[in-house]
Amino acid sequence: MPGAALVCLLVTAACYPGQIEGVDEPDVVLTVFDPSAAFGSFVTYAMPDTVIEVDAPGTDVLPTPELDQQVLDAVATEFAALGYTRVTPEATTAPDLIVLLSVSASEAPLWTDDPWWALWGWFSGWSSWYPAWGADWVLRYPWAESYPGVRRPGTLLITMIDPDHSGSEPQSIPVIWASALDGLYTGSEASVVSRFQSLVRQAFEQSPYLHPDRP
Amino acid sequence: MNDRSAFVWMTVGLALLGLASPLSAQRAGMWTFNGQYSTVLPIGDLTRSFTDGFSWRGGTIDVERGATDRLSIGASVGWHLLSEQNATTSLLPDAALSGTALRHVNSVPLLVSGTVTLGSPGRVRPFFGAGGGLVWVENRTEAGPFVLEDTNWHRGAMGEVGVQIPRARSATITIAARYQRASEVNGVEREYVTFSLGYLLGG
Repeated sequence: MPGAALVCLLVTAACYPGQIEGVDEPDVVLTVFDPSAAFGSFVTYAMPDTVIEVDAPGTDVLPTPELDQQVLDAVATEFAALGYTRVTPEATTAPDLIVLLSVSASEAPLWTDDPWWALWGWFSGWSSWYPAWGADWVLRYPWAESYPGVRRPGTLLITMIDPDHSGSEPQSIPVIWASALDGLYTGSEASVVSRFQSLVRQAFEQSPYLHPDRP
Repeated sequence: MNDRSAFVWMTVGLALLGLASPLSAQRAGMWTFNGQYSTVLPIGDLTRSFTDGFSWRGGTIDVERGATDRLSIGASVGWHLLSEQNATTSLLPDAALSGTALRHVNSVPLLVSGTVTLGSPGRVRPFFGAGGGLVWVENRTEAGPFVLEDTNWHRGAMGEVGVQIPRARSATITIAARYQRASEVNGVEREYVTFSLGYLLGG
């Protein structure tokens, strides 16, 4: 058996040389989307005005409400540049999309079934737009098995929901696009400020399906 | 010229070369086994934009049977690895990952092959080869805590030139350069050249 283990180790090392060393560079942007979503038909979106700290409050994440607002503004700027219109929670008509921002306080699986009510239940738009959603519903990432990974402390997750896109599982709210900005909220605040705009922009640039031909 | 026509023309050329030479019973019907150590050089924009580093990791095995004195036909299987750390964007059909990352291509061609060997037995002999079949390609990106993996089966083709250098008994050393192509699937196309040193038995 030791021989077999050695062979496995050698084969793995040969297939992915450098894997053991790994890459720990900052500024990694991951985007994933659901190809069945009709991105070309979306015009309006809503975005709660808070970056939610997910998991138990940690010590590694900067408590930076001012920075949170800048990040929210950066995301809104990108959507505006694409021609999307942001609606407020008071709007009577439901938006086409909901965009949620969260930051990890501790390490967790990248695509966890986030409890929608516990994290976002305070957002007043939900109750008027989507009354059918119960408190025990969860956000579900359809690509979770295809693209596993880890959400490190300080990772910003931008999540897009199409409320009309029915989930394949009961009591699930399917996510149609998500972007993870690895470790954005770690380091000094100055470091975050110097990086977040280009990283948010990169998330949109590498998602060309969000750029339908808009007037 | 697309993959299919290139493969057809290479195959026809090899057949003509093989059939044009005098028939002899010396190699016809005999099996050869060629185990090769291969280095890998990526070429083509799509391949080099993903991994652009020369690789020392690869191997190729050819098993063929002599159809005539000069033409042999058989199968070729290989494992060729490209790997590089770079800062680009990996694009998959439903995902993208940008930033500094380790990017790997593992390519396993499974081909039907034909080889025409010129010259006389016992001397250094040039040879030409061609083949077609399937190539399994895995593209893997590792960046921090994220891993993107994409595997596809591609139609594949190869063309090869080399020389056989006779050694003692029935063994022969081969030195060869092989162009290997895995045609486009889901926006992924891989091209590279292997430079191989082989030990050929039989024939």
